[in-house]
Amino acid sequence: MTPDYTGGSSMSNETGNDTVNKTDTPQRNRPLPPALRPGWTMRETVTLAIIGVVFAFLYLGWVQVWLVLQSVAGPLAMDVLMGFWFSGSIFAAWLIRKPFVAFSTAMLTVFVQILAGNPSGAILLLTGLVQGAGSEVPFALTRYKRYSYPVLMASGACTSVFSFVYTWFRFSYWELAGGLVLTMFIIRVVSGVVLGGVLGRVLAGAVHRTGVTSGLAVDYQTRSTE
Amino acid sequence: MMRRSVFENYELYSPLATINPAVKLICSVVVMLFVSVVFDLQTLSLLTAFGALMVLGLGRMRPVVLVRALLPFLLFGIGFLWMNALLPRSAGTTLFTVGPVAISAEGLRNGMSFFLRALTFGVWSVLFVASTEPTRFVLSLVHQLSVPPKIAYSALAAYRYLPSLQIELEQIRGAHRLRGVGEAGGVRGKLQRAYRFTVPLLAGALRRAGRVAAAMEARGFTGANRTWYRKEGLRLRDAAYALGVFGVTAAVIWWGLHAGTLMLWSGRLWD
Repeated sequence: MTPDYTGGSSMSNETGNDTVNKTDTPQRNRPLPPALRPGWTMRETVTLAIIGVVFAFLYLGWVQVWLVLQSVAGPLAMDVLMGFWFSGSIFAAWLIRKPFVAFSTAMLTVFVQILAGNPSGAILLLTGLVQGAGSEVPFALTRYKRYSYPVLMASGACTSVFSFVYTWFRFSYWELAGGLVLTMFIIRVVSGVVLGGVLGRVLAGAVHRTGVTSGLAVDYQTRSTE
Repeated sequence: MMRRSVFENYELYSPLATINPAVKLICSVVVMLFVSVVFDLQTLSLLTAFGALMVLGLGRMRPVVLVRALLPFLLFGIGFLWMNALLPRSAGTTLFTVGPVAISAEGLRNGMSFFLRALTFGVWSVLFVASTEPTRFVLSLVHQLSVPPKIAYSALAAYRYLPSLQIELEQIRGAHRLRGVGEAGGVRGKLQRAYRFTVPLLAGALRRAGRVAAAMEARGFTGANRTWYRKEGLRLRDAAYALGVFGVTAAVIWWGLHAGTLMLWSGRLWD
């Protein structure tokens, strides 16, 4: 507690609180900050690597949730929970906003999970490739210009579609009843949108509000639009 | 607590620690790739035993530490074991029944093979992780596998963050308790709690990423035109190690083929 010498009254606590960020920075002719230029800065490379590590840690925890739910809900559990395994890519893409962020995050989390002990092992590399590609597509379609909620949700949905095709082959879904497969598909897309797109964005937004993202692309772009 | 024990107990004065990290990694990954297409119990247990002997012998790891390091893999494996035994994809011949549940022979065998595979993966990851100094690993990635230094050093910084995540969680828990954050019960409470832990964890990680990047740039690290204080080279013992690992693995395969016990993934994507 630092004593407030200027106020001196009992009201001084309240006056200390209204340091609101000034969002209307005047436009000057400055060169683009490094985060908005094409190449990768050191900061972005390290940030991406650390996001990969933390999300691998979270994903491994989520595997436990899945194992528990699987015993109650059976194979549908995977479709319900699937979306969270996409959230890291969407989280990183929203913060860094450069090509291949979503894809690299997916691959990084896979590598870390293999090293840290996901029993699926090397087959996970294929999963990472499929899901990484799926989440990258919507961002590529906007030419890495738009990171609004609809785009992030589309990324989650697209990852769901990609991963559904992959699991279709891996777990022979054509042997199941058509209605069931349709249900699984719808649940998975919803999960991708909610647990992947929305949750990834909500987490990223919460982290952004803590102020640790200053200097990343999200910081400049949200400042100029909001 | 489980990961901390793995990462903090690397034995750096063992013969295994002197092997070139890139060579060691490639050997472990090749064995793991092979293991992921093997389904019979005998080959899997032989490869697990081989890995365990390497860790205990050449790695000089104490058995207690190895068991502790393998604990997460064991838990994973047990999960897969009962899941497959209780919920097989296709019901086969019933082996025995425990109350209302029937344990099928196929389910149990698949479960056992998943369990052993998790263990084999565990042993071969521990073998690498527990005998490798991260700095040497990264240098060797740059020198032997020509990974760009910028990416390699970022990966190093992040890799070192993994063991401290557990400590970070403890700190967040302590901070919550200090501020008297109530812990509500039920699913809703659990979700709320997960969110309260995840955001500070991610924020802390990003803050750390910023600091690390600033420190790297402050020291003039751009990744280009580097000279090296230490250079990882390839020596005769690295070749001997690779030959040894591949030789024993090949011998296990050959023996399995000969005895007719080897069961490989048949290349089917569906069955």
